Amino acid sequence: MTRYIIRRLIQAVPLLIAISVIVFAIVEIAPGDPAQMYVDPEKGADPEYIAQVRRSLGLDQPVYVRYVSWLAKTLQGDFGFSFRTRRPVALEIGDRLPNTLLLGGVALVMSILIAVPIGIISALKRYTLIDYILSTLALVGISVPVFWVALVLLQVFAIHLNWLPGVGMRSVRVQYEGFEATLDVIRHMILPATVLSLAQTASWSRYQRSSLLEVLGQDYIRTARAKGARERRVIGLHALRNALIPMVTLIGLSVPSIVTGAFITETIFGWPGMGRLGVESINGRDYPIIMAVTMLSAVLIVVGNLLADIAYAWVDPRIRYD
Amino acid sequence: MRKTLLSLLLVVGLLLPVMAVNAQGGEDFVCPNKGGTMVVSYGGDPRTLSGLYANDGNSLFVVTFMAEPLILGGENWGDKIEPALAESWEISEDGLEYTFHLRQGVKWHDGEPFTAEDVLFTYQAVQLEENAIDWRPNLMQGDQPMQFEVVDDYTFKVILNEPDAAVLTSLAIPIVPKHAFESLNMVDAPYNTNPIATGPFKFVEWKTGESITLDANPDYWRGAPCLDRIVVRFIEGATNTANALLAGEVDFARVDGADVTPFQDNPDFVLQTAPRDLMRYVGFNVRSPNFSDPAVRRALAVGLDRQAIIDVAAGGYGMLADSLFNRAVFMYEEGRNEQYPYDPELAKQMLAEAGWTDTDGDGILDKDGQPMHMRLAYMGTWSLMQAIAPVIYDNWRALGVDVELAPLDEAKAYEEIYENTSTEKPYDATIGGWGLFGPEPDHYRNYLANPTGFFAFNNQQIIDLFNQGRKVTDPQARYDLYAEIDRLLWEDLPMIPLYQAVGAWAYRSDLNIDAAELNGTFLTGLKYPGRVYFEAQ
Repeated sequence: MTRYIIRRLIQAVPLLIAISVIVFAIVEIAPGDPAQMYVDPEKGADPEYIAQVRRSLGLDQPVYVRYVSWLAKTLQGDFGFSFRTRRPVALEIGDRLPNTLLLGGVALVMSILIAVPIGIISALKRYTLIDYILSTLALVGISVPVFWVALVLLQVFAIHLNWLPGVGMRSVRVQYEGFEATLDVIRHMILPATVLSLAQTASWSRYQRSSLLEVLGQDYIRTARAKGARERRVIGLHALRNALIPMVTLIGLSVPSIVTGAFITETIFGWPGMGRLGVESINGRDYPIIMAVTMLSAVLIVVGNLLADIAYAWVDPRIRYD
Repeated sequence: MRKTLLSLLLVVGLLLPVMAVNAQGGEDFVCPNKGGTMVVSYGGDPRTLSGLYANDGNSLFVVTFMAEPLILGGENWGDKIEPALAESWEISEDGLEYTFHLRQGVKWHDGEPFTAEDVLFTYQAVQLEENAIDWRPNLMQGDQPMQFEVVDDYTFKVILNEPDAAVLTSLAIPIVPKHAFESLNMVDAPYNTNPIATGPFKFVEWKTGESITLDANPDYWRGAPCLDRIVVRFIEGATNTANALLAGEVDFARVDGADVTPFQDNPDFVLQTAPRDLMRYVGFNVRSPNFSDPAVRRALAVGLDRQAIIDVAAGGYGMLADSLFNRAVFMYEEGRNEQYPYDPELAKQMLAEAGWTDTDGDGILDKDGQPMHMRLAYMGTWSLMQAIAPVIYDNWRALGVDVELAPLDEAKAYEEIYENTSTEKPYDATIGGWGLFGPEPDHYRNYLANPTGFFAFNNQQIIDLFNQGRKVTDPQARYDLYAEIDRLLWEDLPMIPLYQAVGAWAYRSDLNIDAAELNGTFLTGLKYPGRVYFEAQ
């Protein structure tokens, strides 16, 4: 197992380097120039000032020189400075990451807690009214665009009913302390977490349903029933454990998106997380942040895949990697 | 739409006399009610909180609540030259020496006294090239730096190499405290994220991605602010801002376009408008053979339905321009120039008089065998330009101009238009916008009296007058001179000013901003944020 993990990690290195080259190239080719973000196009910038800004950002170097120096620094754990704020990239990300992890983590747990039972019920009550209702709801959940759901929830619960706050992560008029502060964050989290988990819940419940149905048709289930095991035991012990295996992959693959954040949801709800940082850095042509965020996501996808594979072996002893 | 515009003009018309009275009312404002937190909103995290580095909207917005220049009237600092940290000033006979008398008893937010040493430190830091401060050209005359002298704690002198009547607005740079820095080098100074200033509100806390908290400065020289606190919330996008206002998460914000609708006739909100110091224009490449004749340019102005552009592109929030200068310039006078009315028939007639007729019956005007082709270049990624371009296309096509739309991506737009310092322009006309020039018309020189500007406009008479304008210090003489430039430019029309933008601000109905004066030439929209107060319930 250890050898397998090491081999996978070594394989990941050329992959990550290739990704970094591609991302660096895309950012380079994309229109817009960080130095121009320092000036208002309407005012017609002084070319000398632009040249000075470019020098101070190191943009006067050829692209391959910049790439190599970026790579060398990144390998030493130095992600450089944000072009926009001149703060270290690590600090910028450090400010946002906990907020995104909180929101994404809560949404993930919500999705699992709702999707798995729904999938199980649908599978066990296959082709009944309840299955049709749940399936239809799932279809709607997958189909409606995230921004639309977000805006509707915002209109209804934040603006018309005024039950829940719709902007940001904390109240700004009152500064809460201790437990009240936690409660305040939870209240702010309800709408964005619901939106984030909705599409995921819908699609995961479908996966759970079909995977359980597939397992229920297997020979060992028939064997279990034949030897007189009670239905509870058949489903709970034999069927469910096996039906959860594909779910582990799905959840493992969704881990990176929890860290990199949700661009649309975070922007609409003003959540101070990685997704908004991503949007702001792309709008502001903040190359070091764009690189850091994309590389972080690449690393996490690689690691997420690996974790999913390891988790496989754990939930299913039949799987061996030696 | 017409109704909106009418009420808007009314509001503007009514505001002008009120503003004049208040300006004289001066410093003895008494808060009718004290306390409370006002939540305002703007796009995203500031780049910096230092007044010297703030030149993007996000940063300027926050800085404007905290920092102050010697004089109001520069970029983002209002439309009139008025005393701020400098109480008064004198100009020497030869126009080379400006002596400023600084306000006494002003304290920095940390309690230290404000003196002439701080002003000297600020201006020297700006002049230091390594600091890469955008204001630097303001304090340079060509390659020569301006000279400064501290006469005593409250007297400061600026010494010029040659007379420059525009210098007052150039000096409108927020002052920073000398004692907050270790050296003149301030690129990475801690001050940039933890500022100390003299303004009505002082910095308390910055939560990245969320908000910035500013508390009232009880020692403010104009009097302690009525509010206890202002929170600047970062909200991206006009629709999200409008939603936050409606949800009660924000108290005061600028709203835009379709997002204005929910605030109209809404008893919970007040919707108020003010002209912004921004002009939208379609400018000609005056060296292009087809458009070098002023008569042709005037005809095209007559053939352009600019009101339609205001309605379509700006949702009615614009004022038809009758000058190439924005209304903020000190010599602006409504009605000085006769408006070019929208009249396509008259336009065709004017073009025919200038020699342009459709002789070969292909629907395109021609003269001496040359068809009237126009390559109209603009930044295609700018949604406002996307909205304006089709109206121009339709109107001028109808006159027989062979308009070719050339929406450019950003890099190309910079290359062809904004950073193109040659007299050769690869376009016949360009749509754009500019502004934030403040009351000083000299700031238009780069565009209107510069053969390498966007319009390649090279009118020697106008260039001479602009140069003269820098040397004349007598106010009346300056006024007459720039009024003459205004008239000449309106005749020659190197660019057709489409409209001046009007901003709409929505705020909670129990918030009173009358004495704070809504003013679109400040990014915050508020001239005296210290005078905003909540009405007693």
